[in-house]
Amino acid sequence: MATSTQSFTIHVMPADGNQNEAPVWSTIPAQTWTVGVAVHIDLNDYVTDADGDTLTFSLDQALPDGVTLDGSVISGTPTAETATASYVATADDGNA
Amino acid sequence: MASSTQSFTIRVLPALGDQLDLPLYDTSKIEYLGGFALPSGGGMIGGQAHDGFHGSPDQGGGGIAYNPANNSLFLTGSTTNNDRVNTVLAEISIPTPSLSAPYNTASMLQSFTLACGLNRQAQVNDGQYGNGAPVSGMLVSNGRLLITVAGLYINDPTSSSMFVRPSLDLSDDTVLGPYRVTNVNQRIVGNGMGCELPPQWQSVFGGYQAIVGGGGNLSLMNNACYGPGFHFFNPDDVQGSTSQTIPGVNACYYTDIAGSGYPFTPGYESDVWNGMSTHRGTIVLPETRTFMAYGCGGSDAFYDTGGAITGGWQGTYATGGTMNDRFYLYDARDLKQAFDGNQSPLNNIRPYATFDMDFCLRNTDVTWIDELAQVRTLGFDPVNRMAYVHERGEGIHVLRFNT
Repeated sequence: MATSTQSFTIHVMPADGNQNEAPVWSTIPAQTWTVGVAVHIDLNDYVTDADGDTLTFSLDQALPDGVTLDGSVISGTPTAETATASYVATADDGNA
Repeated sequence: MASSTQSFTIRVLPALGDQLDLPLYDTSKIEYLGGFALPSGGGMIGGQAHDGFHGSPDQGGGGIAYNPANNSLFLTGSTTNNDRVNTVLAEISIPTPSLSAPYNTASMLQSFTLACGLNRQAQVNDGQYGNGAPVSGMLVSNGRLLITVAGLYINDPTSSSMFVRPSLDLSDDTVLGPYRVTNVNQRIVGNGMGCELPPQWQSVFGGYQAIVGGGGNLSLMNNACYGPGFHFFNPDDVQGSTSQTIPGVNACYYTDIAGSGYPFTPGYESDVWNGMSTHRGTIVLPETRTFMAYGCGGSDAFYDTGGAITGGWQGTYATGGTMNDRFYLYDARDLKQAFDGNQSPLNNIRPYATFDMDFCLRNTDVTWIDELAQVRTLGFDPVNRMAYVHERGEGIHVLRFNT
């Protein structure tokens, strides 16, 4: 009996057709800080990524004086009073 | 690349140590936004009739509290069958206020129930139903409703005055109390509810989260501090055994003349206030060091903002004159001195100014005795800086305390 073979590959796609899921945020509570009192917020606590990708974070404007964003963590000690300001945080998973 | 965004806000408040360096509040920034009407009609509870929000209060009773969860108000009304000890309570919406008629009418969010349960208010009055025990203030804190009740004509310096509804669902009949708040030797601490403290002020005042007021009026002549009071406490502590005294610090109160006789008897009156002083609401703003007590004051002999105390019967009553609705403005520095024990809280702390708000009230021609039936109560929304003042028979006035 004569036979022959053929190779092929199978790639199961996600239901929505995308290979990569965008991060999903939960609500970040309004932040009320006090001059001279240290703050520490990990943005990872407010976002999930279905693919388990490592996320990079950015903000649309500079944080109040004395506070910085390093990786996912906002920390520092505010040095000056500010009015209420709106910020937009972006989480990027680095994948298409 | 896949990314997503989330918005949030940041606000940085002044340093804690700077709170006492903040300016005093500029009362010209108070803005009157208008008023709205209350639902009409009464009803029946437990077979007893009540007049809803439109009945005559019992000797200066009444309470109002802002509910941040619903942007609504808890408001007391009449007593059932005019029995003086069973005050009805409901939750209403806050419609847009108007500066002139027609006024919007609040809707009922939760219908009338007994504020403290059947006959419970009489417990603060040694069970003496006939003397009456009106609700005198309310405060929503941490999902609970705190209610102060003023027992009339009692002579017990250790009486309790605060009830707690653990749920804001008025169909839940659970009511705790009554509790005695702080160990001041006054018969009524909590005659007129205070407010929660902004976080910055909590650190200044020992971590306490709220103030309950003091102050009596004529009907409370035998059992109250005369004048506004500032008693710091933690609302979450008001639970458990009613035999305990809820801890707190008394930073300001005035002579209790119980046992000394009628308040208008020369020689027995307070050196600052008299029996018509009331404290029916409190406002503390984060950006100033002014603590405001709201009450009423007489138009003739009263504590003068210039520092003079006039007349033989000092204080705020009007002997034949009219009553003004008034804010008594206290400097937090003075309260802090008493809080820290650097001076006595009894009779030493005086308001640095007063501010009358008769510009918005419709019924300003109120003589001193009628004031008992017209006394207004104030609730405060600290987030939106709005004060709600209940004018009996008229509705709710809305004021905004602008920065």
